[in-house]
Amino acid sequence: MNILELESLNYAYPGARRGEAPIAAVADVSFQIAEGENVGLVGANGAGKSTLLKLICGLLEPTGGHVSVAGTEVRKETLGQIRKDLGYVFQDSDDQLFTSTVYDDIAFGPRNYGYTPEQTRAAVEKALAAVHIESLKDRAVFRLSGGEKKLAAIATVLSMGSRLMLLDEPSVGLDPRNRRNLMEVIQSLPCAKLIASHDLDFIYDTCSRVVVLFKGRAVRVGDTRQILADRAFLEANGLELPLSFVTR
Amino acid sequence: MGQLDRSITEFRLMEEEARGEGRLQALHPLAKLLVTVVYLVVLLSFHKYNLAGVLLMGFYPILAFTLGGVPLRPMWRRMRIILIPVLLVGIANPFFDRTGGLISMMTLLLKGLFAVAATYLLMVSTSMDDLCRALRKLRVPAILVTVMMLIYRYLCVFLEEIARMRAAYSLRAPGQKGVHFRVWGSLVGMLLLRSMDRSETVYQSMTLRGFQGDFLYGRERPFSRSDYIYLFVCILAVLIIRFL
Repeated sequence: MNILELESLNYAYPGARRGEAPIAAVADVSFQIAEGENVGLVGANGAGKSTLLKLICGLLEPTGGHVSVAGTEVRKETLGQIRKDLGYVFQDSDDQLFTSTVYDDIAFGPRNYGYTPEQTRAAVEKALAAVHIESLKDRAVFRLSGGEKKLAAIATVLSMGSRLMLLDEPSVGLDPRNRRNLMEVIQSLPCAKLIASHDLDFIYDTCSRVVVLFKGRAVRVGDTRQILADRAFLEANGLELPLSFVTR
Repeated sequence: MGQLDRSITEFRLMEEEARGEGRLQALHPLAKLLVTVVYLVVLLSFHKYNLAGVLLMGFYPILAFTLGGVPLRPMWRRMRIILIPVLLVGIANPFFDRTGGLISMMTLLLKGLFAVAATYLLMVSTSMDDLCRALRKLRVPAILVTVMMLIYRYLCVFLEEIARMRAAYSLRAPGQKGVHFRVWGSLVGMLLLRSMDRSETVYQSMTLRGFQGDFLYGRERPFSRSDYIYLFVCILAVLIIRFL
C-alpha cells in the first residue's frame, strides 16, 4: 500500500508585485511512496524541494492536483488526521525544539493527540531508544550539540507513531561522525521517509528511489543507483555526481 | 561574550535551575504559586508606616533562600534592572513626607525588595511549563496562559535573532561602540521580519504536532504531604504576621 500519493501537484507563489504573474514552484509533480520505503528528493537550489514538502504536510495549499497520505487526501478538514501519520523534520532543529527539555519536546505531539501520561511516557521512551539518545531525556535543549539536536528532532516525530517522515536537509551542519550516525538511525527506522537533500551521497546511502526536481518539475523518478550515477543527466538538471563517485 | 549573549545564557540557566532537584524545586508548582500570590498580596497591603510588619514579612524570602539552597548573589545580578528602580522608588519620601518619611521610605524599599525576592524564588524554582499548568489548575483561561507561554518562548527566539544580527554587525564594524543610529531603522525592520519568519516556522512545527491552541503544560504530579505542609505553614505565617 502507498503511504504517499502525489497526483499532478501544482503550486505557484503569488507574484511579487500587483499584476505580476504567479511564480510556479511545483509543476505537475506525481509520484508515490510505499509503506516503509525511503525516497530521496533532490534538486538544485530553488528546484521546489521545500515547497513540495510543505505541500505534502498541508502547510501550503496546492493550486492544483492532489496529495494523499495513507489514503486520505490532504485538505484543511483532514489536516488533524493527516498529521498523525506524518512527521516533518525541519532543516534547522532549533525551529523544531522549542520547549525547555528534550523530554517535553518529544512529549509535545503525544500530549496534543490526547495520549494519557503513561502512554506519553512510553511513546517518548520508545522514540528516545529508536534514535539512541535515552541519556539526553532530561537535558535542556540549549545544551545539545548539533547532532544531538537533529536526533532529538527526529524523536519528536517518532513519538507520534508517524508512518511517513519528511526530512528537510537532515545532514546539513553535521560532522562526518554525526552524519554517519544519523544515516544509521534513518536506515533503522521502519517508517517511510521522503528525504530532501543536496547531499547526494547521503541520499545514495539511505534511499532506494529518488525523485529529481528541476524548476518545480519531477524530471525523473526511479532507482537511486541508476539516476545518481548518470553524470550527464545530473549536470543537465543543475546537480553533480555524488562526491564518492568522483575520482580524483 | 556580549551583554546580549550573557542575557540569553542567564535566561537559559534560570530555566535549567527551575528544573533542578533542590527542595524548592521539588515542591508542587501550584503550592509555590499560591504561596507567592498570597505573600505578594499581603505584603503590598501593609500600611506605609508599618515597618515592623514588613520587616517580619522578610521571614519567607530569608527562609526560602536558606532552606532551598538558592544562592543570593545571582538574584542581584539577574534582577538588577528591576531592583534599582524598586530601591529608588521611595527615595524622595523623607523630603515630602515630613511625619515619617524615613519610615515610609524604608517600608517601600523593603516591600519592593521582598516582592522581587519572592517572585525570583518562584522563577528559579518553577519552570514556565509547570507554572502554566498551575495557572490552568487555578482556572485561568487557556487563551491567556497560552499567550503567556508563547510570549515566553518567542522571547528566546527574539533574543537569539538580536544576538545574531548584533554579531554580524559588529564583525563588520570593528571598534564601533553600539550600533550606529543610521542603521537602526533597517536593523530593527530586518529584526522584526526575521523574528516573524522564525516565529512562523516554530508555530508550523507546533501545528504539525497537533497543537490546536492549548498548550498541555509540564508533567502531571500529585500533591504530596510536604506540599500541603509548605502551603499551609507559609500562608498561615503570612496571615498571622498581617493580622496579629
